[in-house]
Amino acid sequence: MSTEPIPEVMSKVVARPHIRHRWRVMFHQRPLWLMWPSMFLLIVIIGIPFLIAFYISFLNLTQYTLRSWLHAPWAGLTNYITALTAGNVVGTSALASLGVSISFSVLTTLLITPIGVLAALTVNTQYRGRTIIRALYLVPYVIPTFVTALVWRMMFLNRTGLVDRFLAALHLANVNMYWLLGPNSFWAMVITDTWASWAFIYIMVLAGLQSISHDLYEAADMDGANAWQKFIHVVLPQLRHILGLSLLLSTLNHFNNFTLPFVMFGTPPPVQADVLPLNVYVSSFQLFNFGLGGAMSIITLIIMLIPGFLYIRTLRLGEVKV
Amino acid sequence: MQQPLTRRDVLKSGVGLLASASVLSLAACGGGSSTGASQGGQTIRVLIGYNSTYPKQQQQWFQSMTAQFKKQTGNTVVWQTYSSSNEEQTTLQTSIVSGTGPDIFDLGTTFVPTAQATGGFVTLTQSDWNEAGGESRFFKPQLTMSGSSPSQYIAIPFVMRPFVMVYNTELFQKAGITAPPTTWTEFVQDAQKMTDPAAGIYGTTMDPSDSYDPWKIWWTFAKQLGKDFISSDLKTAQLNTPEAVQAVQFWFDWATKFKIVDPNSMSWKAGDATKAFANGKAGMVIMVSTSIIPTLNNSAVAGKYAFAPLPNIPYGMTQRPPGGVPAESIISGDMLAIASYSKVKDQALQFIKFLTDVQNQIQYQKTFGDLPVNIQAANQLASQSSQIAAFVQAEQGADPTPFSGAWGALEVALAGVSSKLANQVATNTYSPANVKPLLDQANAQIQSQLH
Amino acid sequence: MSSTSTTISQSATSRPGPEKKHRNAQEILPPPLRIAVTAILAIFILIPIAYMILLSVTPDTEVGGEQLIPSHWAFDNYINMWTTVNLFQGLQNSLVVSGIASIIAVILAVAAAYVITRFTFRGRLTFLYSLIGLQTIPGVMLLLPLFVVFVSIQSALQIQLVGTYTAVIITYLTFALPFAIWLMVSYLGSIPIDLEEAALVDGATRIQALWRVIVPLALPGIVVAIVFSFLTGWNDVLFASVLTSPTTRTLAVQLQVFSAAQEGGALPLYGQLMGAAVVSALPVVILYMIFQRYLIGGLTAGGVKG
Repeated sequence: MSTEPIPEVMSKVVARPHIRHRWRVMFHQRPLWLMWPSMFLLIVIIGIPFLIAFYISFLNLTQYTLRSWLHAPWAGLTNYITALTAGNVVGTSALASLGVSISFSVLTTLLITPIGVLAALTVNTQYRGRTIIRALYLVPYVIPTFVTALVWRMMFLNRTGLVDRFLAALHLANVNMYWLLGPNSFWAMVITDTWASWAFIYIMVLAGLQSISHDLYEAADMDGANAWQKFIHVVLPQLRHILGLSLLLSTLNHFNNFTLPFVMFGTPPPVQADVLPLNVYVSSFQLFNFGLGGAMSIITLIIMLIPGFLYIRTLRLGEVKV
Repeated sequence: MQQPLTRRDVLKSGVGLLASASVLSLAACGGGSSTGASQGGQTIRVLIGYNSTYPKQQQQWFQSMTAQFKKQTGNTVVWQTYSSSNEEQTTLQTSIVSGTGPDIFDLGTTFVPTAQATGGFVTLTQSDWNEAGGESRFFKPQLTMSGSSPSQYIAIPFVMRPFVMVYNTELFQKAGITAPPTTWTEFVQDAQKMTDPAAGIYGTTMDPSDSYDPWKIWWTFAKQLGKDFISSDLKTAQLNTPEAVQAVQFWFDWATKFKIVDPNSMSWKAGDATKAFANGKAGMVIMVSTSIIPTLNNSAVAGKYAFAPLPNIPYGMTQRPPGGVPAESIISGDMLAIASYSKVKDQALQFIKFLTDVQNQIQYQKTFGDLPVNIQAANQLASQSSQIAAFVQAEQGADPTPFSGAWGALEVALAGVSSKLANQVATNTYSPANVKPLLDQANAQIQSQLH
Repeated sequence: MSSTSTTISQSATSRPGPEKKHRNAQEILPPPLRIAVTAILAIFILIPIAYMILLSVTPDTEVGGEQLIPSHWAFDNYINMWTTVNLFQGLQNSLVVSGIASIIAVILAVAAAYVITRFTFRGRLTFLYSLIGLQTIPGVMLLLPLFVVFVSIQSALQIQLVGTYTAVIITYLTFALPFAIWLMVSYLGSIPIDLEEAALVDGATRIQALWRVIVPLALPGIVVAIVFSFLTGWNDVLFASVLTSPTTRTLAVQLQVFSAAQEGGALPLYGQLMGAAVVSALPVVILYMIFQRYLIGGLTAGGVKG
């Protein structure tokens, strides 16, 4: 994917005078209006509510003050301090939750990436039954999250669940091993989300594979490359952009995944699986402490944005000028 | 600069027209809340819990109530349902914050204090009560959850749902137990007699991962020992008193000391405990109500179960310590409150009167199982069925939970304690000494919400 | 880039090589490996799904119980689930809402991505970065404020939003935008500008160039964007539960009814839930099977030669 800046294109155009006029016209009449609907919606539906939530994080908004929330008492930074320090009897402090969320999202992304890439590679060539396989791969992703969570909860029940039975039959573990409580609960969550979401990487990579020109493969073939080398030198470089994007978005999506732990463990969840969205939900909605929930969300946001931006800059994902 | 592309302008305006047209048409014809076209009548919106045990019957009940009320008064009723208490809470929050939403809210009794704390519901005057049928027609104990004080009532009782114990008559017989236990000492002994780990049968069940049962059970124990979770002046949290600590320890002793529950039950919720009982694997289950009947009738224990009130004397004692009360059940059931923003208050009161008259209350019990709050209806049914008589008796021995706006938070905090302790038992790191620190934390959190 | 491929393709076609090479050149995995991986993945996928189907015909009291195979088959779950909630209406509502939201989202995303990738303007990078920022906002945080915004608009403009299709469609559409825009930016960015230039030289307007040249090449990306945008709305419970009325209730919210247990011991309707879940997964899979042929093609359909 080329990143030629516009001046270079311009120089090519200069060589062809009959279209210079057209180009200049095109350049100076940028159809920015094409972006207005998107910007309008993003501002009204996400931007403004976000600002309201930001404002709420500085208020002491509880069940007592909810009714006239605009006039709720000012709490300054109290909510932020509480979020960062206080242990929550219901779960853990925001920082601990953050740790759980980060490890969960990074680990899951690392697990689903090779699976997704492999899956895309298996269907990139024509063979009988490919249509069905391609559709089958998508199925775990389209099942509603909370159904997946319920089914896997059943599977992780100790003694009667499939997982324990399977492991006991293989003599790998005690049939009474707890998966829904204790340290294993984290792994139960990781396994379930891996199963449900590897199709995300799969689809993104599959789409990315389509933009690789056939010639490149042939050229590599002619240079005598084997499968592995073709993969490293032809496929991966072309996929760099879309794969980079997928990894980032996948991590963010897993980070914000509220439904999965909510349904699998209920509230309150075991501390090892107390991810930040769940913590925010319990603090704000169930405990009616919206100010605290807002503060926790803002803290999350800031902490996630920094690596996010660094990631984008490093991979130069934002530079897509043609 | 030139503007050569007239086609672009056309396209731009075309897109704009299309967009606005579709938005408007969606707004106009998008299916949605009817702005009720009843001629000469008002529309009353009611928010009520979805009954997944009797869904078809509930739909029919909705239609029947709407039709009858329309005939009587010309007002239309629109029903809105929630499927979980989380959803109910969210709807309540969005309604309060925006000032629009249902006119009548069906609230669980323990949720009324939080609802009152928002200030978003109508305080009922004497004339309001008369419009709703008169205070005297309602089961007295239920009124204790109507508001923070008799002059501050916001909720009118609708149905009762006392909590009792269910036991397996067959297992009782096999173990030679002749009558259900009346003290917790007897309870543990009976459970031990019925426990047979080899057959997978245990005397009773625990569901520490449930969001609601743990606090109710601990509250029952604590009240019988003489202490409530919040002081009677509603200013002091009492979650870490010796009585509360003893209550929690006693419950977890079932798993660790007496071993009368399935060792795998630490991750159980209420439904899992019901399942165990329905499959004949448990001798007794506490904190159940009439809603369990359809499940049991369709299961392996159909015809082999019976109900009894909870034991009311603490473990290891022969009588309750001073200050202890029987507290066989929390005051439990549904109540109806009218939102302050509602424009149809009088019509809503009329509807509530309609719902709580004798015929409709008896009909409700026969369809859904929940007991009437109408005293006349309750007595009538009690005289006809001993099962119902047992439930009515339990509700008479029931005790109200403290009427504090922080009660919702208290439930969540205690669920957190239970989950953490269950976690410890599951990983073999539990010791009774761990209980107090967790209760101290919960206490501090709730204390900060009391004022 | 284009000059290199020109040289190579020229040398390739000048050789009297076997045509087979074209098909196999793209194959990265040798067949045995491919078959093994496919088989493992298929098993990995199918076991929980088979379990789910098994649960859908198991009586509720035996779900997660001692025996795997139920004592009697509860096929009536598949009949009862249509009446326990108005499942058919929920299905319709979800299809309409998610369908419209995803189509509009992708149209807007393509438009925005076109501007971002073809033109410079102040704040371009900021805009892109802020999209990522928007992706990180947890949904629960926006729930109450968004409701307040909708109600304010309602009273200001005197139209009904909450409880109609409009509110949910607008919400899902907007939530899907950041990802869709990023995806289209990524995809459009990989389409060389030469093609549009050629079209413009031939006298096409910018919009025509966009529609006739770029969109067909970007189809794989567009299909992916539609699928993901569709799923954003299809599976959401939180916002649908407050923005819909009983008649516009979506499938996801209705499924909650099956899983809720009654206080006092009644069981969740596991069997019906699993049956309804199977029903809710089918439409998306079917739609994907229909549209997946557009997922192939793009540049390999021969756009870039020379």
